[in-house]
Amino acid sequence: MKRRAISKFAIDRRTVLRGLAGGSLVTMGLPLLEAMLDANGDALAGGGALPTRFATWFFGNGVYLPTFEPATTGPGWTPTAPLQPFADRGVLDYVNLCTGLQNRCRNLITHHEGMCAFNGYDIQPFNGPKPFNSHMGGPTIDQVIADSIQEDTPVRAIHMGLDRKLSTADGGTTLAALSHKGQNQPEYPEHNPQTVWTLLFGNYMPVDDKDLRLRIIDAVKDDVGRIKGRLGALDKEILDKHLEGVAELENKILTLPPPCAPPAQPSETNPDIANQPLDTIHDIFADMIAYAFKCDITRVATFLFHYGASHFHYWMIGQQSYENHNDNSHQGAPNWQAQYVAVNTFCMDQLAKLAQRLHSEVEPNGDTLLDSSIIYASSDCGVGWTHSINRQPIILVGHGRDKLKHPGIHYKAVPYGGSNGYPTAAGNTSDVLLTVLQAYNPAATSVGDLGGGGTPPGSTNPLEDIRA
Amino acid sequence: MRQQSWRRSILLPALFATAIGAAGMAGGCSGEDDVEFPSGGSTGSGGSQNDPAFNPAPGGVRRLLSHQYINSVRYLLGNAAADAVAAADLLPPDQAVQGYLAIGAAETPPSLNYPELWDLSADTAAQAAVADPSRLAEWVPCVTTMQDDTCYEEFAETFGRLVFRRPIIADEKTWIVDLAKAARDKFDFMQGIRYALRGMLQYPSFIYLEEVGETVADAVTPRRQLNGYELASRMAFFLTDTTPDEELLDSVDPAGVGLGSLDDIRAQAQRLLEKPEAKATVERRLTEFLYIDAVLSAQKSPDWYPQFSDLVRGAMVEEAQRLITDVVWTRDGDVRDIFTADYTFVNDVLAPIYGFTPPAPGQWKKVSWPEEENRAGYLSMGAFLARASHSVTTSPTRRGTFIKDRILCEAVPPPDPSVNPVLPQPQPGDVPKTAKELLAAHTTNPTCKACHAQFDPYGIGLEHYDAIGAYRDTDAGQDVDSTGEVDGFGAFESARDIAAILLSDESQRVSKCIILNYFRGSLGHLETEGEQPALDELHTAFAGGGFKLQQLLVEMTVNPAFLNVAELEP
Repeated sequence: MKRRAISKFAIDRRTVLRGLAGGSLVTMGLPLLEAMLDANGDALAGGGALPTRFATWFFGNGVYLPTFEPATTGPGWTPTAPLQPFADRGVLDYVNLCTGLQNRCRNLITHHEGMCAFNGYDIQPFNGPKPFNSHMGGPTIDQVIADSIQEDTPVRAIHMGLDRKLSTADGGTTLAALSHKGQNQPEYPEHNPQTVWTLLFGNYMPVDDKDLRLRIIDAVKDDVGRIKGRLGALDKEILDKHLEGVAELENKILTLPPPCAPPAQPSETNPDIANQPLDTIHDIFADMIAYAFKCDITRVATFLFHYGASHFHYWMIGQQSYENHNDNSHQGAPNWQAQYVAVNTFCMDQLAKLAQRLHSEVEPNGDTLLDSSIIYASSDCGVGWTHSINRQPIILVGHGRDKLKHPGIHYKAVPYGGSNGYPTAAGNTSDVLLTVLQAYNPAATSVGDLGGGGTPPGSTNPLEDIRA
Repeated sequence: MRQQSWRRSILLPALFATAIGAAGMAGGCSGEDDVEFPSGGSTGSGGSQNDPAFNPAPGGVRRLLSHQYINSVRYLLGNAAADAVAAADLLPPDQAVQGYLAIGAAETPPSLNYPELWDLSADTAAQAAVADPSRLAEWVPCVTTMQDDTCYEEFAETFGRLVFRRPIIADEKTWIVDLAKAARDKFDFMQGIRYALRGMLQYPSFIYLEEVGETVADAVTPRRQLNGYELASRMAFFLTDTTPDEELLDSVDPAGVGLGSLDDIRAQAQRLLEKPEAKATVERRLTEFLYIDAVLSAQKSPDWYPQFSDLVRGAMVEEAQRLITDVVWTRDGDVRDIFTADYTFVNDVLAPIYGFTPPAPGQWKKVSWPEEENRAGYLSMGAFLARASHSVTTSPTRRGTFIKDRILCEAVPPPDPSVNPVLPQPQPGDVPKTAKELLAAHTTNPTCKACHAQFDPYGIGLEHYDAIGAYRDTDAGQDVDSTGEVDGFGAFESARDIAAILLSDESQRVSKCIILNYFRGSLGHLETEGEQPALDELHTAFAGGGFKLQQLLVEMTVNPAFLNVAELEP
């Protein structure tokens, strides 16, 4: 495989080394990214366009639609209580809210099909000892966008997980990762903030040992080739994916790190304890992503806040006995609606905090990171207590450098109607995916699976209403 | 990747459908003992591998699990290196598929960042080993004495064989030595060792178990027999969760023709079982199969269960593991005792949960379950009962599906997605309902009943044990009704009743399920239809020996399903 040339970060290597002392990166005192910009501050010194960033954000178990969806639509919409955190944190203008849409996944096993809102492909169920088994049917939107915008950032994409309580009833990979490179290719999230820190900031050694590390890369590739020669077709998928990962490592070795300071390594490890402080860990992840975006270490991130079908109890908001998922869907705890709304509100506040954090970072041209980003957030169903994927909400935050409406709107595909947990829905959640994809790759004409019987989950029709 | 194995396999309730001994193997493996296993040769032996219905599962590659990586580093490079890798927590996360970590490691392609995580972990181990080369010097003394080019060559050959679990090939010696020299030229001799180790510990031959074998000529059904090094690795990781030790590698014929006779293999397995790593491996397997340590993160309402501290959670894990140790190692008894024992072990924090007089702090004592509580083994222990409950209430559904899935090895069917799962809402003025009453819809509504009747009743039978495992006679102010019945299993009203049925079960599901859990959780695939004759043969030996786990583990290593893999698919 031909090695990629060092391009974007071909700034004076001494500039980088000045930032290194005692084996770790230290602050250089320069505004982040400034060294990489041209004199006007509106393009990269190498002539490339300013970077745009993308993130997905997931929270399981849907929402309580009657109190989640605002009544007002269009620009100037009034947030409901669960969406009020965006106003409280000063980022409501950056929100384009899409409600009433139909997630068209054709394979239904509960929870898993909701993930189709992140890629437009039918989930692929399979049999096994566990009741709930599937793989994602194709690449998730973050992977498709990463292919479009990666350029030569050291890290192609970073995947973070908060909740560690994946249901033992689940035997597949669909819910275990938010990002998937393809069918049965989960990109498992890192749950330990220290690991995320190392992957983003900690693996640029002050010692120039690139030649030695590239020798290792070559040896690994040779061994993969030898093993592949002994195997049947099935295992070659594993080894081909291994080679893809080796290419990512090789790219990182060859790409000079940008000359900016990392945040301090966090002390938290987010262990699998009874009462995980999901919000605290999320703040740490948000900090690291703000740094990584601003330094152009990566342009793509995914946040898996709590798993689909998670049994997490939101102890942080006093829900010691109320169990998200079970009590909003199956058990019918007293006062469950109010508790469910409280969980929805808590989750939206985390998302709003991430947006607020990005908005606090101003780039040399005056834009904030939120101006150059789009966060695509959704759940694994529209209606938590029936698992229905009708009216699965999509919350878009940021406009990706004027690609989405700003101030944002509330787009409602069809008024709320129907009953018994299966409300009326229309349109296609994948239309939103395509709109977002085109913000990064204007040449994209479709997203997801367009074939097969019935109504395919993919889309060729971007949702013009939210486009800038 | 073993994905396709499932397509060929049959659904679990049908397993062992052929009568025990249908393969004509009631006599176990006798008669095979002196048969050599030359690579590529036919054994010509009897046994299930000559049953036309026998067709081994596909081989291929599977990743080491993180603890297997760390354990291997511990053997190869010493405690400091292994502890450094563990502390760094940079190994790829293990993620179960089909309910087993080993299946995830065999079927799921690596995430894109795994090569970097392996690189980071390898360098963590390498740096620690160079800082303290005492263990490495036991294998290759010249690294601390001669420190010359010849030493790099000796290092590559001697240590490479241990790391790759087979003799290294010429090209490998070349890259290892050249890399070491390049690093030495830039830095110093030991940095040469560091970079060589960094390369070797992320090398696919270390990261993956290769189980490809060689075609067996004239086999009744086409199959490939693992070569000696592949078998040594499979045995070592199966029994000890670590790399094959020097003695095991030395037992492989240098020409790579196997590990000798079946009795030779048994002798090696028996030797490995006596290592401390074997005890840890049994504990780790059963902990995974029974979700023992999941209680460590079980959330409980502090209003209802103020006594349910992290100390109690930890004690519940240790309680279950102490029972395993007692049954498997201290007594070498019937392993089904794990589900039927009329005794348990408690310390000072756990004893009050069950109503026992606490021993002195730091002490554990063996106690008999009170007769009137009708407890039995793991099914009445806090680790299970608290984990498979909600934060306030029990969950007969979670408890029941666990028994069906992990103890009986029956697939839990998915719900019909069109079913609205909402249970009747409590209304103002309602008399509080017991868990059984709340779940009444599961057993009366036909669409719910179709599935829930297969597992909820097991949990109902455990309703005398509350959400942290304490005994109770009332729930929501009403008398507990723990009577339950499952078609094809029987009627019961306590853990002890369920345990009795497990032992008297004509289809012997519990002992067969122990075998299946071990196969899936160790070899990384769901059992296939073609493996059934071999599994039947294994169960016959298991039953004949009184269901002793140690004996089962030894016999598994000489089972045709362990020794062979399927022909390659194009």
